[in-house]
Amino acid sequence: MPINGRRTFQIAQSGIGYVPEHRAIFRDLTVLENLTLAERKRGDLRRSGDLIFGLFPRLHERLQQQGGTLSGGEQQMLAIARALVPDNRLLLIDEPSEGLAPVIIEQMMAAIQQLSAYTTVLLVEQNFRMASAISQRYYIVDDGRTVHTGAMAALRDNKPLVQTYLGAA
Amino acid sequence: MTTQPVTLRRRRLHEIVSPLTIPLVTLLLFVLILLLAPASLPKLVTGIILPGLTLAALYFLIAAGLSLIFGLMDVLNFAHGSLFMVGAYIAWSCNVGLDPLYPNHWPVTIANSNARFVIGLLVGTLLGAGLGAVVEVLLIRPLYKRPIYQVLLTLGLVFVFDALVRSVPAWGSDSKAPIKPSLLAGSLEILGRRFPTYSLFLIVLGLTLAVAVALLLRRSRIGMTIRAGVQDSTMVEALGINVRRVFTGVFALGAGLAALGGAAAASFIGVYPEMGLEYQLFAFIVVVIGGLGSYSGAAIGALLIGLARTFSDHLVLELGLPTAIASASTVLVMAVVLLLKPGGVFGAKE
Amino acid sequence: MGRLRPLLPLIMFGALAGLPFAFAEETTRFWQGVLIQIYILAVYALSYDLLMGYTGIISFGHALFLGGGAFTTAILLRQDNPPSVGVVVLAVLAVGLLLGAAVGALSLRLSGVYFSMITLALAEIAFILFRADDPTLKPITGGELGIQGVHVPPAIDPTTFRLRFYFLTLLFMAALYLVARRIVDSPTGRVFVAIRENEGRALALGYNTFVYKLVATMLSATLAALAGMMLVLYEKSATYELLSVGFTIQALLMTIIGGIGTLVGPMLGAATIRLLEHWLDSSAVRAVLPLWLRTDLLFGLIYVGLVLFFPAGIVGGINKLRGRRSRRTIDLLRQSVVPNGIDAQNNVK
Repeated sequence: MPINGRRTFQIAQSGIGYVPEHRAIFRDLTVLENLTLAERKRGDLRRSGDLIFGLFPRLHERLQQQGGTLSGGEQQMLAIARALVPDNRLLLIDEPSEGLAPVIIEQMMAAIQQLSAYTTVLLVEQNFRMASAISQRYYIVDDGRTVHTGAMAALRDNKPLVQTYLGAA
Repeated sequence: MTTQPVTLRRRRLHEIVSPLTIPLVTLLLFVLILLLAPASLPKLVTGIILPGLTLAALYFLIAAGLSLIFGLMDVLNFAHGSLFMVGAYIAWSCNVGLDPLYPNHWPVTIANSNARFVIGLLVGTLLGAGLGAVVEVLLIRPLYKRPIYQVLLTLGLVFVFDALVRSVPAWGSDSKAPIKPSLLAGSLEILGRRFPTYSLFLIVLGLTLAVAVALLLRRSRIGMTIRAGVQDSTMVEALGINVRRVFTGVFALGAGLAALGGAAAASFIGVYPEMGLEYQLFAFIVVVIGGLGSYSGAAIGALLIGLARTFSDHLVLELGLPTAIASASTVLVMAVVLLLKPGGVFGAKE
Repeated sequence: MGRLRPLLPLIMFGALAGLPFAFAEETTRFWQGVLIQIYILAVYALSYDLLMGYTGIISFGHALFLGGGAFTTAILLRQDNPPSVGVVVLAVLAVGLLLGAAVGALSLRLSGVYFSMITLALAEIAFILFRADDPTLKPITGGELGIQGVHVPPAIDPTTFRLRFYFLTLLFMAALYLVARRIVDSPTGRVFVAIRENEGRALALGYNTFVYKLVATMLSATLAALAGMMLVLYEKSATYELLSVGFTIQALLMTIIGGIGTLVGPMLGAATIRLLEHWLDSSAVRAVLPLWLRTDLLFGLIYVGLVLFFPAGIVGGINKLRGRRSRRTIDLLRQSVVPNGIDAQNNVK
């Protein structure tokens, strides 16, 4: 969908990495091909390889495996890794905890927290406990509009606000 | 509520038809045909199998592009056979236009018929590919948000190309005889029977391109992008790749393959305005059997349908039935496959 | 105007009935012929609109139904002792219903491109069989030449009783329009529209949508077959071209020009096409256009242009002009209520 007349690929090229809700990895491509495709410049993968395989060593073991044969958690790793291949200034991560086992969610959240040392991460997450544990700032969006914004620490203490917009604390 | 059992029963039927069933059933049918109408080994090879492979090569060249284009951009190009026909007419024109002995030859002529033939193949392929790119950019692209109109449009193009070919004074409505290059005009002896060299050339051409495109898809970055795009073109775009340019490229590639098939077919079956739709129909059957969007499916489907045609022609001839029934019955095969397994034998999209 | 609206079809009918007397003596026969063709094509367009416009089924093999009716008529009336008109009509009705049922049963289980492919393929089988110059088939189908010299019952022979045949086709069109209108306004017709709008919901409401779609196909096929019958009675011949993609495109063209899902629109579309064809073939236009530019090529280009730029057609265009103001108000309302973000999100696939 174009924003301000710019098409999706142009927006992505301006340094935005996107990790969609349902992971959307390429099932018929190998892990390596999935990552190579995400290169914007030749050599992107070589440069970011250490970071990616440091975060997700499992992916390194499965480089020649087809995306579709990975487990749900591994697919999520691949989806995030794919966004890390080029030098992105912003990562949009949509519902990374969806459909994953609690143990995997923990791992994923740890990885995302490590990531934030390298780049800005915008995380969309329903799981408040998870999101609040690893984020610095929050934006509450209701019916398409941002209704509240501030430091995550302040939100954690604001029980009524959490109650209103996020249901359970 | 009454529909519930129906859907249940249908799904089970789909599951029974496993990927290998249709190739096996087809082989069984071939054996059955041979039992009904026996053929000696030389007859079997030169009269049925090799001609079948020749047809398979032509079907493959149309079906490969048809399937790739559908896989990538969800457009079923009804005008794909028209590109085959346009390629054929251009090649035919090169073959006669460059011939110094032809009464209405062009200002520039080439005495060597083999050189004329190669030029015809190249020009036909390139113009076909260019035409495909133009069609995608100008006509298909504005309609990506209205898929039904895309299909309506490509069906309209069938009609436009048909009328266009009839409009060109040098082409017209009547069919033109094939012109073979001297190098491929003769025949070879296989198992004691003569077999036309040109048919063998078509088989080699089809096989070469099947391998070349497979390598392009497997080994190159653009091929990787295409395979990824077949699965999820939106995500490819989100990675920062200009998918529309890939769309145009694949449309041109598919059109080029079809046009090359046509250009090669021009020296085999000649040219006539109905050839586009005629061959496209078989390409449809091929992609339905192979699964729309599956490249390897298109190759295997082409093989099966090519052989099925020559086997059924053989049967019909031996039994003394009209040959039109043989070609019509192949379409029935498609109907049966579609009803049993709408997703194609080898799965793929949808 | 508002009060006259219910009478409009009647007024139209009256005007068309009087039309043959409005032309000069020497041209009236020619114009009667043009109008006869328009009325027959209008029924063909009507039959397509029933399927495409009301039920949302876009068949690529509609020519099969037209050709089916045409060849049934031609084969029956070619004999030296042709059966009576009643028998022919019954046979055409039966063939139309059967063809509709067969094509529908084979194709309606499929959706999307698979449906388009199989309908095109089924029509193309018939095209191949009827065009083939084959010693076994030719005696029945006529092959490349088609069936010539059809014995039209003398009482309605269009050559001797042109005016009589004119009124016959006018009545034929009016009657079938009323039938189609009746179908569309019936409870069954409403289910057709529901299927077009949202088949899943219609199914969830307990309608067996497959059966309804089958019925729509059979009705549409019958109307098209009747149009094919009239065409043969007028032309006194039937050729394989009636089964070609060209005739399916023509149905699409008439429907899209006139406006999908309006019944009257496609009929106007039929008139537009036939008159346009006449105008394009006239010597004045021919003198301007290059000689090689065939009329069918122009029609093809017009069709492509319409699909690209004017998909709503004539009637749709008029409705759009009329409804533009109210539509704009609705858009404004929607924008003020629904935040942009959500609205935009819904637009993505």
